[in-house]
Amino acid sequence: MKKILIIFIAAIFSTTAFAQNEDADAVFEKLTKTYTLNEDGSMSYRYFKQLKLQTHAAFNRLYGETFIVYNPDFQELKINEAYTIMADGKKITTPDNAFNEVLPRGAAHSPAFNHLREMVVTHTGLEVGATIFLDYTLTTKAGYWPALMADEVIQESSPVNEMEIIVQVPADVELYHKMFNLRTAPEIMVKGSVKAYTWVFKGLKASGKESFIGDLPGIPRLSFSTEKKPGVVFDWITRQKAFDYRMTDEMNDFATGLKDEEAEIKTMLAIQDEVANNMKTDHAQLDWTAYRVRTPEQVWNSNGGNELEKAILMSVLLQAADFNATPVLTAPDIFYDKNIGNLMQFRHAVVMVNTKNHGTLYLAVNKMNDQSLAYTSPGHVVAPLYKHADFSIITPSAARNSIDLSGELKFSAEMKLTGSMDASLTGAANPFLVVEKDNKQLTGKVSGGLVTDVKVDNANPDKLEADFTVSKEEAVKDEMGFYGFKLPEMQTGFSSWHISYLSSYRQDDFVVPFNLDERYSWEIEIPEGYEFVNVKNAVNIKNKAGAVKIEISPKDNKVVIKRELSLNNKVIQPGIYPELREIINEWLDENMKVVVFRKAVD
Amino acid sequence: MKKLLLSLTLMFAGLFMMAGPVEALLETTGSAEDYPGSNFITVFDSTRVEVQETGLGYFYTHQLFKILNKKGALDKRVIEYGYDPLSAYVEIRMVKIYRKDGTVEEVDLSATRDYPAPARMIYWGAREKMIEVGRLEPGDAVELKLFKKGFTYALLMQQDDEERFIPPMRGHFYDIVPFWSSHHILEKSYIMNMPADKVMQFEFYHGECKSSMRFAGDRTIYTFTKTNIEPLKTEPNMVAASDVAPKLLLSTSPDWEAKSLWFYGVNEDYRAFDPTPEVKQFVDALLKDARTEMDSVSILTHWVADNMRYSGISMGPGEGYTLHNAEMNFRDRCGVCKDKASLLVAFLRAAEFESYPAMTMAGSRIEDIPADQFNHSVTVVKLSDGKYHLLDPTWVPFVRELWSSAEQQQNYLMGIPEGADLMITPVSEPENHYLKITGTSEVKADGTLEGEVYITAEGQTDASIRGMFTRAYKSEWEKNLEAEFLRINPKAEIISMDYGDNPYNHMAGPIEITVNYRIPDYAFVGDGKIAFVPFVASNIFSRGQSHLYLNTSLENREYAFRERCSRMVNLKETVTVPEGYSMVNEPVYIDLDGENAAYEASVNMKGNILEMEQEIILEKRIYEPSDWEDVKNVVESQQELAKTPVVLYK
Repeated sequence: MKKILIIFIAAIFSTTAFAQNEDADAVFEKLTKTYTLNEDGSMSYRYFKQLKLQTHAAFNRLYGETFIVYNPDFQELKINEAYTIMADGKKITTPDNAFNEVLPRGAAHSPAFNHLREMVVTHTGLEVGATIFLDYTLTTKAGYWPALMADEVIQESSPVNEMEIIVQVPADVELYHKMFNLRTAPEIMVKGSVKAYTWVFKGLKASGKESFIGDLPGIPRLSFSTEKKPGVVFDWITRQKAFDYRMTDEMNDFATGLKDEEAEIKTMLAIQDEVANNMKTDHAQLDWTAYRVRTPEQVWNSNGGNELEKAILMSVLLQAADFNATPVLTAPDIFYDKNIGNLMQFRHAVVMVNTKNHGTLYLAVNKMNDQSLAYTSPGHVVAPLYKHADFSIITPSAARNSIDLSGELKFSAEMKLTGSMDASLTGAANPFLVVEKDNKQLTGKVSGGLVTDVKVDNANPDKLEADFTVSKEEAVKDEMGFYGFKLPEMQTGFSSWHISYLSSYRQDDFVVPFNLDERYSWEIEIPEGYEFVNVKNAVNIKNKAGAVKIEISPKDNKVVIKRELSLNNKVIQPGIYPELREIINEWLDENMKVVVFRKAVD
Repeated sequence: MKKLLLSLTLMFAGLFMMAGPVEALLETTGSAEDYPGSNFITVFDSTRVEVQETGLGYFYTHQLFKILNKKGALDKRVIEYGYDPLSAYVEIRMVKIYRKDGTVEEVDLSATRDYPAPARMIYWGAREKMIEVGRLEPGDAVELKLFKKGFTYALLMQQDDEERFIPPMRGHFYDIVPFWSSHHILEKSYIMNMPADKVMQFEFYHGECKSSMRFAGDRTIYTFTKTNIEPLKTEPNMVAASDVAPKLLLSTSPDWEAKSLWFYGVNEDYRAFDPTPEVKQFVDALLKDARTEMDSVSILTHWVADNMRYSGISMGPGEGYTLHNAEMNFRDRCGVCKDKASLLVAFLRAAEFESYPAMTMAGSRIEDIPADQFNHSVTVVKLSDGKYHLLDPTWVPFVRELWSSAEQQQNYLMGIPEGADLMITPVSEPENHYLKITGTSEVKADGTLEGEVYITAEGQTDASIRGMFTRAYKSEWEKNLEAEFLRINPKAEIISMDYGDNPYNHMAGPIEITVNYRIPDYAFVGDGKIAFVPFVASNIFSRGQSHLYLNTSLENREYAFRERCSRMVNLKETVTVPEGYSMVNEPVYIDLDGENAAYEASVNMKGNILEMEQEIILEKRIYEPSDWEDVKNVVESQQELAKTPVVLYK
């Protein structure tokens, strides 16, 4: 009798919801992903799907093709079976000409990633009521990966009747795993020399097609690896030659030539500009090449690289300019587990720079950032890629992000607006790096084109204090005897999120880009002989999502206006979403952002 | 002085090229300041074509690029050359880098990569060759020699190696050579050497070039050269660059009729349209309730449009101008435009109609020289009126048309047994593409707006409105409709919505949507004043009014411009306002009656009832520059009303 060891069997039904299958464009009737680590170190990934199409959009727009990216240098793709069962039961075997290899778009224009391939399986015989069957296996040579690992989001774009994730390892190999956001444990079976972990999920609802989803903090996710220690898999990365951090004389001359002893941030930004803007960013995902990278010299000479390659190169150039700079990989902090060595969670690379005067800053490699990424992209852990060093994960400290802008403004009889504003900006709302490069650019960070001059009193990554001079001819126009003045806003806070409305319904968590306190205080004077049309008005809402407070108090020829928004919950669950929407709707109310006045009528 | 130097340089450019002192040439070509707007310049771009008796062309291209700035260095870090292996062979024959410091490096050609090109929607095995140039600096230059033999399109049947490169109309040669660019070109030349017994017609469009024809034994040599090509100045919403920019067209094909007959012949020979018994049976079932010939044509066209998805897989040798046959198309249920056109021809023939394929050029004009200027294939059917009618199963999925009016004023060529000349599709009346939005609403004294809107649309405008359903996940339908209201005001609350039982059923009739809504704080409420924009005037459902996205900042236009389609928009709203308020605004009466665009609007109040009405007429898709004033006035007038509040006082 076979020895069957069942450590734990969990029930398999998702607690979240049964999908409304009949209203979906398609239904995954069965989805199976099987990961296997073989005795010889090679690996395989077998994928099977049985997908029923229920609308024209399902085959015209959504599921007509399956795309499989792989690296032929190390991987071999085998299509086990591909066919369609049409609505009347007729079987259409996918013909040979429906399997076409192309270059993945992320590898386009890039010699370094030119060897990658994407198999496009065009499913034929599709119609409403048809079911797609696809079964393929991707086999990977031993040594390509440091461990068998994956980061699986347990969700698809259409409902799933049953999803199975199976991980097979040699019986003497331990699998380290964790299921997030769902109480589902694997069934573990040992059969001969193979140990199989099986997770089964039933009745999964389709993903929400929503924005502001962040790293999907509330969606079930399975992380697993055959390596327990993250340090081991990161050491595997840093053993590559690129992490010797060597450079050529030309590179050294370039970096040292940019060095400005008096302005370390300008030096840093000049190097970032070269790497981020003047070099191509290859959009080849890091896992497409198993985190293999070329040396900084090769990347420099080719004038382009993927995120990790550019991060290494930027670090080298910064080091030449006397910065302590290190490439780092980033992952969502809520899904990081120190007992699972899983590279797959670390999808992006940036550069960590220790400056002499402004502490540690995090820089992007594909665009210039206004502020350290630690502030503007919170909720991530970073893994520094030191060579021959103990591994340590870093959680950049969270900051308070705030805008305090107050001003006294006055309209002349000719409707020229003059006055001044005081700004205090912290955290993500502080465009510190922009100011360090050219503080005049701060004028463009206030809406309305009102600011003509800036005096920066204090600038550091945590806090910026500045005085603005306001002057604008004909700041308002006569419209049927009325004048309307739209209140200025900083472009670095809520308005940087480009939210103009929120839908009334939300399926998944709303992830606020960063916590924020945004406050404005205005005293606005209109010319003698004019009167306000605005009446005294106030909004004051405080709920689980945050708070909004707006006061408009006109008196004689002056109006005092206060606008305050506070969003201090980064993750807003669907149950609280209506409260968030209530706050945002008030903040977006155009009638509460405008001062209207006219000539007084006796 | 610099100008003179440049002219001299260009005069002797050919000589330099022959002599080879590229460095000397580069010395005289200036730097970034001399070429504003260009990241690099093409110092010369010379293509020499040797045409064989079969029509096969050998193309020898020689180019020299000078890098002006970092962006230019980025542009030229790799050299790529795309080709279709079924009909062309390409080779990168030389790449030299001239560094600013005077050093010259020849790139090792063994590093040339040959790989499948990135692709989406069309998987025909297109490939690219690429070689890495690597890091360049401003002042560096790249010299390139390329070789190509073959043709842009694939052939018809399995042939031996050299045969597959010969153009489909055997013995004939054509080419379309752009003489425009987004950057400066100091000299571009195109030299064609062909057998003297071949007669070629050509024309240089939208400008001038230096041209010559010389006899050389049994060959004729044609030369076309243009110098100092400035970057093409573009205008928003302009027609395709090829419609206005300098270009050379040449062809040995005698006329369009010959092309038409050839297109007819190759597909009939291939028997692309023979309906299989299965197809015949299927068509009979589809048409069992059809009562008129138009019923039948409509049912068949929309079945192919809606149910054969756009995704091209290659039939291997023969892909290109040969249309996939009925058996293949009906089994695969996918293909590109020509395959959809082919299945419709087969369906129509199964229903005993006379039907053929046609070729067209979506997006730009076809000139009169019979060089292949086609990128799209459609279907024609001869009806009982004895005339051919156009059908486009690729452009009408879930569109209430048989021929897409987004393709009006477009040239086409039918592949029919009697042959045909180049033709142009007619303008579609604006009334065929109406959008009607009718609203009744009430503004409360606290600024709340409550009301109902009814939206209906037809033709291309119906498709734009319907697209919020047919082009989206079903789970998003109601969100998409709600979003139309939230875009106007984020506080909008949908009380009820009705968009019919099945928006996919476009043949049931024009789309009809009714929404009841409420918007707290919609109106600005001040001291005895209420101000608001009538809801229906606020550019709601702008997805059906693409003219609102025309950039009207240009005072005048140099080039013709285009919109999505002709269109008529009717907007009406009756707003009840609180008792005791009067309108501050003067009543609005606007009547702009242009030749190709018109606008009428009125806003007035009687008692406590405000009436708003607008009609927008846009007569066609492609407009001449002289039409701009009318179109601009119409769009700006509608936009103005959309942001002008009605102000009421007590």
